[in-house]
Amino acid sequence: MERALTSGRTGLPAALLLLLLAAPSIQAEEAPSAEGLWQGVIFYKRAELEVDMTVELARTAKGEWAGTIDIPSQKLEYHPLESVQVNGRDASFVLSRFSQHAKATIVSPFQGKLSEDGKTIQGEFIEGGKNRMPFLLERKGPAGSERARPPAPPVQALSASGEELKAAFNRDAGKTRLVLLLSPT
Amino acid sequence: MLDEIADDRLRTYVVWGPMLGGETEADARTATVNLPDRRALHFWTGAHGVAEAFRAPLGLGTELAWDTFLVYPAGVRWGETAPVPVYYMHVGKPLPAERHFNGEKLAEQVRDALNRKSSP
Repeated sequence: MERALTSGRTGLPAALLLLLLAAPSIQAEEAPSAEGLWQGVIFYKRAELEVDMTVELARTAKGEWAGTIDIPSQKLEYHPLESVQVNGRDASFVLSRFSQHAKATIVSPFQGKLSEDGKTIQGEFIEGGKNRMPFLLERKGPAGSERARPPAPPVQALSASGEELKAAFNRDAGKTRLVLLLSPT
Repeated sequence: MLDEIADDRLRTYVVWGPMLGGETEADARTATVNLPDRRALHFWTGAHGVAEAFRAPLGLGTELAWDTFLVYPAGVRWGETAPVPVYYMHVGKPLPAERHFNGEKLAEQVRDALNRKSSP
């Protein structure tokens, strides 16, 4: 009887051992999570017109995916994303915003793929559901991390005559130019 | 407005100045966040020289050209005097009411200027 008990008990450590041995491989195969704070850009035209954005993806208490987006150039902050879906390494969400110009809500899906190491999400931003542009997001931290604000653009002091403005205006003579004379307050 | 014109052939110069009298360079640095466009260059002037330079092209007489928005197509150069814009808008100037600032109209005019052939 004793032997039988002993023999029976020897099975438990073996099973635990198997589980412990299996655990690292289970961890290694676990898909990286899209949950987190991401920063990146939409490449309208690489190195020339790139729009900064911050995206936060997280699960709600109900286990559903949700997210927000910041696009400073469009004055979007903590703008809620719609239809956030994560299936394996595929992550997609939709940005809906009202366009003053179009006087309509522009619905723009993001369709991305999480990298194998979970450090980036790359994919396509489909502006208005039509124009496809690549985007890249890099993981900045867990969901809820503090969001970095883009640095303020530099301000050049002009001489009284404004010669520096004139020089810049003529240097860019090949471009269409918009001159704004404004009060900062 | 600028964010709806995704065209790298556009350059914007924002000149912040003492239109009201008490503005400072620090105010200008704070105000830049309202125009974060990558194509924009921001300037600060504590004087009225630039606002004086643009009053003649706008036909403003003695009025300074603060609170104005001027559009120039490619090819236009600033010579002895500030150039006449192909289009402008204003806020509260003794200029035509239909040129009172409207972001959508201004954006249309900027798009038109972008589609123009370069001036000689």
